[in-house]
Amino acid sequence: MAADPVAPAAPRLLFGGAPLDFVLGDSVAIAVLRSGREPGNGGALCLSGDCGNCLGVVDGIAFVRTCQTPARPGLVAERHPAGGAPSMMTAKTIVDIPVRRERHDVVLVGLGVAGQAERARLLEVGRRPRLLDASQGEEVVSVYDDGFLVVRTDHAMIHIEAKEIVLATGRAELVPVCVGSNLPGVRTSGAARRMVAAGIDLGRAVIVGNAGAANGLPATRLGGTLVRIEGTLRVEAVVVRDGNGNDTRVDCNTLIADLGPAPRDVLARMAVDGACRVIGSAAEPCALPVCPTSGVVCPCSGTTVEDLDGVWNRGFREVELMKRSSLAGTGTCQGAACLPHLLAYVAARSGEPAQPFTARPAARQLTMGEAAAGVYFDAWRTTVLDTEHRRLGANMDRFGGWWRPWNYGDHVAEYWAVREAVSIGDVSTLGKMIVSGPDSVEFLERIYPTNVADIKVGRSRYVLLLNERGHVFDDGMIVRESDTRFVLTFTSGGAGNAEMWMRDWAETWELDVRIMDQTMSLAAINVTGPRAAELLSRLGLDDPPKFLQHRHVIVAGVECHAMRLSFTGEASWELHVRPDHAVTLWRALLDEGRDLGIRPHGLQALFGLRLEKGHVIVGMDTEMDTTPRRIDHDWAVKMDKPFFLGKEALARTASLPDQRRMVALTMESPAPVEGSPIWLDHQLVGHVATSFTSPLLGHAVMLGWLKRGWDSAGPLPTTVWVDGRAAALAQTPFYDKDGGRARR
Amino acid sequence: MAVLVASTVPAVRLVARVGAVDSFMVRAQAWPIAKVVLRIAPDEALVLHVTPSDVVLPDDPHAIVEAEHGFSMIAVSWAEFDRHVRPLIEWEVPTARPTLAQGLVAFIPAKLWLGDDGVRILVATPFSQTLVERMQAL
Repeated sequence: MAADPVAPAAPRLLFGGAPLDFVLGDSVAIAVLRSGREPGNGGALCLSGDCGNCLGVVDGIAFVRTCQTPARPGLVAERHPAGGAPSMMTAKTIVDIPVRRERHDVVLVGLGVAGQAERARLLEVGRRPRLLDASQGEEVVSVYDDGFLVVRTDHAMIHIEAKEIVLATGRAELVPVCVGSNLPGVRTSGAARRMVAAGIDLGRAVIVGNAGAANGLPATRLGGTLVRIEGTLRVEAVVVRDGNGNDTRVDCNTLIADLGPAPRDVLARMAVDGACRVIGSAAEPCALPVCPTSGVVCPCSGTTVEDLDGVWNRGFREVELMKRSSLAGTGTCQGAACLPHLLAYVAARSGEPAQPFTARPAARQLTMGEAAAGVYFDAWRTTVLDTEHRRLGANMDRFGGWWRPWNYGDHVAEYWAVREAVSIGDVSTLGKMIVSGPDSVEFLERIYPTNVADIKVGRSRYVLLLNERGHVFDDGMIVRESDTRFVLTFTSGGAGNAEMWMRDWAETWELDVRIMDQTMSLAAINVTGPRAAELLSRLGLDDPPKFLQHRHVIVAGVECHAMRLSFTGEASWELHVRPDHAVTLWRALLDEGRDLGIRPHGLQALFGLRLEKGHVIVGMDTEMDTTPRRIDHDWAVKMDKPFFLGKEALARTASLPDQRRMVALTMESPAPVEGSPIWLDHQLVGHVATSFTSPLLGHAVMLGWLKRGWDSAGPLPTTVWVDGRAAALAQTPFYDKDGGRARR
Repeated sequence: MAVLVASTVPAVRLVARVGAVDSFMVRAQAWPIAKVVLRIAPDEALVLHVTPSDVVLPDDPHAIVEAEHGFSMIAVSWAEFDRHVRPLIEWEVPTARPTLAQGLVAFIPAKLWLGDDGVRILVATPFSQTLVERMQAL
């Protein structure tokens, strides 16, 4: 008979590359089962979203529970690769997913019998619960102790803060564990019931167990206990044992496990701090199954009873440890299938009740986009001169939380501009802070290991910042503006921490000071080089501050706080300016310095320039436990002060031997890469912290850490080996040893 | 779609004894409404659309009063706020008007001046472009 031309074609999806008819209302798993196949690589076991047996790739997203995925025309599904993991990073998994944020008095998860009853009860007392149920497209995937829930929907994530969370998640079913229990054709009662409801023929089906959930299914109930399941590609027979120990083998196509309830408690186990109230059958205790003796315990991870025996025999005898060492419970279903059996195993072996392991978000596989929904990278700040840098062709990079110029195309030319002419650099990123108040001197004396009271108004001093353990965690300048007011600078990356440090100690000591962080309130330009003073003079500053002095001045018509110091080794003035005037000043400096050979310099040149002077960059060259002694900065610590943070620790450790020392090294060019190992007598004794091939000196200069391999009471070695080449220990500075260029 | 723009806003920032800031806040209540005074910490205030000479703290000779040019402002209507900003906020936005709220917006520290006619978002200028991009993306 010819097909009816007006009859609608059956809806189809694509499974494994071929069209597959389905019935409206089918899940993908049911549609596949109807075709006589299995949706996953194992057999579909529970068809209720509890186990991980029906996972597949749906529309490009792996690890999707096909039993919970409604079939629809055009959907593309396939099994995971049989011998490996599916692709996790696809165009579908990294798309931006929006977040909706909600706050509720009470959230009720699960709208079964218990959930509906609880909803009615809450309404009666005037509370309106936010209802969440996966069957309605809102699947709770994570619960946190502080009442925070993450909910997945088809097109967005919902982040919910709730004062109370009520879980009415119901129960799952125990799955069998024995030889062959992972064969296709093994179903829970619920799965069999869903298949029958969908019109799928179970074939010759038998029921093992008598919990009652399988009552009424078209299957033969077997007495006795399950011994094993036989079959090659799927279930072909089961063997049960009666009370007398006699085994009976029964041929079948389907084994229905009617073994009793199992807790559906993944969400409850996530919030272990009492954030959730569990109600209904989910709150009722479930009897443990008999201790498994063979077969696959954890279908997700493939953990067998033999694996558990091995772990147990190695001494791991707590459930949490067994989970970690055997991987049982670490898979897709987070222990929904295996946890009762693992508990039964531990209880039987230990003779004591076992507690379930903690579940960790997420209870369901999320795509990268879903997991990252609403999350942003830390923002990298841009200075007000950012556009200028890019206009000049700078290669920008990220340092200390800021976008900064790494170079402007030729770092060697930038280097020579500093050494031989004049250059400008954007140092707006430096930490900047004002401290004022009658106790400001006392406060800073306690904060810094150097003397503060004797810094004259108009002068400045280099300072280390130490923690209570005497470890260097930042450095900068202390600039005195009046008897009671100071400007402090910090490293770019350390400014935020420094502010908290200052505020905490001011409060702790109850000192009368005020602290204002101006890191992002001011721009700063470093004018450096032997012709820097000439350039400033051209722009109206004829008498710039002398070395380690500072003054409020006008440069190119712009009000600046000019600080004379030197990080490059040449005469340098830091000009701190209002950010809205910085571009004007920057351009004026470049324009006026053109015939002086001016070039802006980036960090690449700066790092080399400062290395030639032996200046350490805290946080880059130093380590978490670096003391002043280790970097040869004892000169910046005044142990005769009555008190400063870290003094006690430094005094206590001063006489102890210490085999960690930052040393200066030189060797033939080219400079080895930073991090290169340092060898002495064929022993690894340290590493290169920072290195640079000096254009001026014609060889490599380095700072490196020696950490072992010599007698700390004796002299340092004179030669070590780096990159297969000899490197000589040296003294810093490598360049301009008397500091005359910086001071002139 | 609204085009969101961050513009630098002239302001004065002050840090002083808490009592001195309290007194200043009381006096500032008499100022024209355009001079928005934001108490951003017990010892700190940010005053928009003024110059340092406008800000006097006679109760604290050691107060730090500085012209502040490091903030940018993004002014949005409530409709724009609901679309572009609220989804980026993980904390509860106060319902009182006018009021100041401070916290992360799209993981960026910001101050919100919640008014009857809309919201003024203050952000440190080095973050402003990124914040605008994240808001505009919604």
